[in-house]
Amino acid sequence: MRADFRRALRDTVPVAMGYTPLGAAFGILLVNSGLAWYWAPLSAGLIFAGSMEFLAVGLITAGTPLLQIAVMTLAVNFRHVFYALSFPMHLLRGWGRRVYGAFALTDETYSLMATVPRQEMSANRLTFIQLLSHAYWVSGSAIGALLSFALPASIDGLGFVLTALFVVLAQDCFYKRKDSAPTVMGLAAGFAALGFGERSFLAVALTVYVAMLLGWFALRRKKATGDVT
Amino acid sequence: MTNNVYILSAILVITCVTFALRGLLFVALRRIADTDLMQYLGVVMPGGVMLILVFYTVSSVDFTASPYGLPSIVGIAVTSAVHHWRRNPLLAIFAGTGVYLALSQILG
Repeated sequence: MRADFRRALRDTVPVAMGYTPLGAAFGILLVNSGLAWYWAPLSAGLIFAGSMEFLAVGLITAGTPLLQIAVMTLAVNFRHVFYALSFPMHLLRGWGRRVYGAFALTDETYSLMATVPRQEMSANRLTFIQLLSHAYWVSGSAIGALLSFALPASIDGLGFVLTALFVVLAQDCFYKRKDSAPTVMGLAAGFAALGFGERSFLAVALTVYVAMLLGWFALRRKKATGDVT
Repeated sequence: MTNNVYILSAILVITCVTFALRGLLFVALRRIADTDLMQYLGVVMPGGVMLILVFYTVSSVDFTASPYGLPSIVGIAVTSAVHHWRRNPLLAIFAGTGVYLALSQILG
């Protein structure tokens, strides 16, 4: 048990280095947007999905209807469905640990899981990795939220952290796939939706984007079957 | 003042949808995930969604009046360039945000 904890501690060093400052930035942004400080650790603990939490600050302060928030979460976090395919759930015994295993399946814990060899992974190490990552994220956001009281009046423009975060994430997707189709379609959908105004931007852009992806998929499949026959 | 019941409901909605997505394949038939279309969407969708979110986060910027969204545009370019160069997300985010804040001060 202790050895597993020590191993998990070492495994999660890169996660700590990413989660703590990013969590702090989230906490600062949240307080600067006019929400009470305790919402930072609370939402960090409950949601535990970085990019969506940043977005949630804007959505909540704008009073966005809950249904719209649900649809947006669906689109932003859709990728998580597939993390299950490579998560060693069979190691975990008992309901509580399995539910937590699925709950705490973030981008970071997922990529961490991919780097640790299968035969070296144990149930305790796995759970500790997730618990520690969760702890870094929650404490980072609490530190940021409390820190913002010590900072000068308000830092206008800190929301740009979110823009930068999505730039980096989009770029990583591109490097990983080396496929320019999603990039081109995303850009096209983004520009097309700009004309519809700020309020309906996201709904229009995502609909156009998914429609393009479906069209592209149908086209490629048709071509593939055409080549065979 | 945004009221607490609404804030908590919004957080819980996001929590539930995220958890449902993460847990779906542990409960539902894996066959759903094995279809070509789902596999394709799973791999391809994030790239474009992230880009659309870049647009979304700058959609309140006025590009028609001074400083014509210059801090945002340069900030995005710096973030992207630093990340391409060092492949270090944190460094890129801080560099881009720093340039953005500096330009907003100077031009704003």
